[in-house]
Amino acid sequence: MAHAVARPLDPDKPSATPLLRDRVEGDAFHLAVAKVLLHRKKLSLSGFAAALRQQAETGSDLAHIIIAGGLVRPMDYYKAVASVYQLPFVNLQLDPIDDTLADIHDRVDYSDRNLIPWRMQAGRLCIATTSITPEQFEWADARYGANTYDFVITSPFDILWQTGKLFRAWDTFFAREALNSWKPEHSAKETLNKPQVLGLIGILIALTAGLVFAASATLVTLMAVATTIYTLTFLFKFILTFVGSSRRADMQISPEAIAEIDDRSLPIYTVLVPMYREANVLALLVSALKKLDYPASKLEVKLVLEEDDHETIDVAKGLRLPGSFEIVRVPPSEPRTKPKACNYALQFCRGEFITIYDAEDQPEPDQMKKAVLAFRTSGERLACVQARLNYFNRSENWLTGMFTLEYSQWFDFLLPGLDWMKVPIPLGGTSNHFKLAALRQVGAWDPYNVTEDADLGIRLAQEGFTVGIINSTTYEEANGFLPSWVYQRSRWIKGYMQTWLVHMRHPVRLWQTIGAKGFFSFQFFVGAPPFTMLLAPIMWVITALVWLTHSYDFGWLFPEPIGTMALFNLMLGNLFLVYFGVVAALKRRYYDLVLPGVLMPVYWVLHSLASYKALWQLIVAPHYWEKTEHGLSKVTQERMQAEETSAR
Amino acid sequence: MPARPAARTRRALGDLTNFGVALAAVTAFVLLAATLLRRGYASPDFDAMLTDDAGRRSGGWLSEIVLFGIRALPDDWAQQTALALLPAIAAGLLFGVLYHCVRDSDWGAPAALLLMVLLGGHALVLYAITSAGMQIPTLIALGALIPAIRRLESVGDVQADVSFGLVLPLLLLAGPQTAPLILPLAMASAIANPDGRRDHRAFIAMLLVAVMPTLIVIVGVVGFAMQAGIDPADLLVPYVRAFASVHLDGLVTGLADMTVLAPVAIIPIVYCFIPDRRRRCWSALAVVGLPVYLALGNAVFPWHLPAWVPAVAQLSTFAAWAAVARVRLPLRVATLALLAVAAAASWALPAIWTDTEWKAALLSAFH
Repeated sequence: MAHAVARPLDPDKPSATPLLRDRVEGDAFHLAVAKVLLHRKKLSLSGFAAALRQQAETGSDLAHIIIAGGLVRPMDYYKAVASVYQLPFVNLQLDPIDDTLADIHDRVDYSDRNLIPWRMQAGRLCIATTSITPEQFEWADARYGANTYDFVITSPFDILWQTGKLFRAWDTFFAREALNSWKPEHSAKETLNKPQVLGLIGILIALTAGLVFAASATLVTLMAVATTIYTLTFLFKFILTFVGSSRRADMQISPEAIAEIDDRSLPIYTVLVPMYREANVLALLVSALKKLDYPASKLEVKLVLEEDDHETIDVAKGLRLPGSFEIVRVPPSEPRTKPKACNYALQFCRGEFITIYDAEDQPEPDQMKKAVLAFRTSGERLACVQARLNYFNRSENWLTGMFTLEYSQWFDFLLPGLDWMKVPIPLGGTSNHFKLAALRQVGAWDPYNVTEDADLGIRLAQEGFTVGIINSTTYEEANGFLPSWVYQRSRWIKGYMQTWLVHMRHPVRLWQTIGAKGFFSFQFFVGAPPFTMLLAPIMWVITALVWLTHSYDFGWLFPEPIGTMALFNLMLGNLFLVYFGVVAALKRRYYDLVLPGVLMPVYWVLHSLASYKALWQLIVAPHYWEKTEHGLSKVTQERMQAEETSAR
Repeated sequence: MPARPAARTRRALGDLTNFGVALAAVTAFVLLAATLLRRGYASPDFDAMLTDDAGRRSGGWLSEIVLFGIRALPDDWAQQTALALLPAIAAGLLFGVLYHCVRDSDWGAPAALLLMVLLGGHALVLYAITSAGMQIPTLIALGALIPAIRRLESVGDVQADVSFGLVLPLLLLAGPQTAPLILPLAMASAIANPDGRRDHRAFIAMLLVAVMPTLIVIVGVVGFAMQAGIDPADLLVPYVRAFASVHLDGLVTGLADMTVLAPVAIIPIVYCFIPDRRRRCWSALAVVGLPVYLALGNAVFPWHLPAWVPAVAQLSTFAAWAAVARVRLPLRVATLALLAVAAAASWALPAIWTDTEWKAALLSAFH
């Protein structure tokens, strides 16, 4: 039987036991490691018994259970592994690799297979790995030739740290430029491409000429276009809300179906949590993630932190996170956006599925199992399922109430409506669950788009994938402070503008890839809202001048049938939009929001305010990410206090 | 996705048979309307609507919306023709939808076709389609209410609440006689909601959701009226006039006409007494209650509805109910038998032939 000999680091020491090339790390191996841990008093007997029980339930290997459960420090576990293999353990942070041995082309393998060439010892290559399997041999043979290398043992965290350090520049470049290099037409790096710039200039020239030579006709035409867009947008929202209000539009995954899932069949699931200066809510997040009904040994939680955010990193370290948590430090580079951070972290992910949560998110515990079930029971092309988002602090003030109504309408009515109509779904900011392979296939997130989620939903559709909505909710913190709300909203609106501009670079291609239905829904769901928000104040001013002062006659601006349509929009359209907003409270029985919901037009004024800020930023700072501050809500603060108290 | 709630297999609305039924019905009704036009029959309703602003004066805003489009046509002949053909085409299409729905509610194809023939062969139904433009909105509004109430009872999702809320403005737009139903129905829907009975906030919310579309439509009517230079106060006149005086006249006759011309009312009543897991009584009772309300109101208030209107309203609500309720075979057979009797009676009873010109024009076509 072929074998490799693990050579000691110290050439004077005798060689270790031969390693069998086709040996599979089975239960016996893990039991041997556990015995070492027990012997070294790193693992308690009760902990060991609990791990064995979990192993039977989840089918995970003991290593993951013991580490994810926090029963043993990862470093101690892999030292025990090294003992069983009778190989040296290396701490890569103390004994880093020889950089010249690493190959950029193997970067993905290093992460996926948990190995990395370490150093040359006595003319032979030493490969640092966390386990020795036939696949590792196969991989090493293919690269370095048989019997030219030896293994040493290290921990996955060391490999993560080492690969992160080694490929820092490459990973950062990849995070920033992968999509732009692969499909520049899908990247928002350039707000407008050349034909768009020319088109815009052409429109401006035509408009100016029109206003100079035929002002009246030009203004009437503009008003007719605006009124038509308003009417069509209203009708589209009406249809979506009506369709989405049906129980049949909701994808229901029952508790019984969840209960029937055999935990042993569950795949590795990666959870990305991009955070920036959010140390205050970290404890809450960890607590929420610990409540997830998913085997900890099959979870891979990555806290994606900016390298210069020392405060959050320090707090994260201080929390003594379970072994399933890892900190990914994102090197500083522009643009400083969440999608760039996620792209960076994506290179370290190993799950079959991946999801994103924000720092203050409180997902329903069974959400990931529902996502797995949705993926398993749906077609091959389902690449993403979006959980619903809602807010836990709706009663805090009027703004949080309106925000909750808006989110309820968005996630409980409009998105299920889009799903029912089989048209592209712009994803929500968090709690979107992806097949990792599909996410990579479409080039992941666009780091230059500030609503990368909405953009990704459209790109998935363009690549032939589908998106579903599942009946699980993640509760977030509604922004209850006006300035902060305007910042956040202006980013969202700017992102929608970016997304529309990006995908309208090739309208014919867009039509061909997502179909006529998808094309029009994209226009009315992504393109029209920012436009109507910008236009609304102009319409309000005209209305106010006509109705309040009675001294202006704008009748000439609205010849029939535009006049009737405009009146319809003003009175029926707007009031029915308020109605849809109010109705949004019903699915979740937020009856307390129905009466305040009547004041929604005031909320729209704030939207318009934010839309002008968004437009300005689109021109001067298109990639600037308006950070939303979390943890300000009273509800969050009370929870944090409770968490602190229980920790004591 | 299989994770979605399993819905029973439905026939597609675009099914060829539905299309065939709709086409046949449209052809028949249009031919009938064209014949009447060719024979020089001028419906008093059409004349009033086109020349006399009858819709506006009577508070029939739904008619006014249709007339808004029709008045844009160039001459009287075109307007008369459009007004005659529009209800015929709409009714034909509705027959196609009705056929689709009753087939979906377990009616066999021959029985469903017979139902269509009997309904379409009812003299008053034909009269309403071809000559009674002013009354059509009332018949539509009452008919539309039944599926909305039924959905509230049987499904009870938000779409049911919204549908119900969106149907209520039809009662306002149809005319002053049906407008008083809005508030009681809205309150009933709020009380019918289990949360509405437990929590006053839920009650207010459900009431608001039911009544808001009507309020919005009121704002719209006022806005459009102002745009057209009509004094908003004038809009109230038809409502005041409709309830200005009280008398009791012709109630028994009205109810008797209903019993003879639309005896199918007995079917939903019997349905309520047959134990069944899927039985939904409120919508069944509304099938009878709404036309009775019309007959009673017509007898008590100066609505001046033609005597046959409650009977056709009864047929309208019944047809809407048959489209959404699943009834057992004996009741379906009884329905067909009663409709056959009613259709025969409608041609035989001279009392209904108040518009002798219509009958003469129609019958002359067959001579």
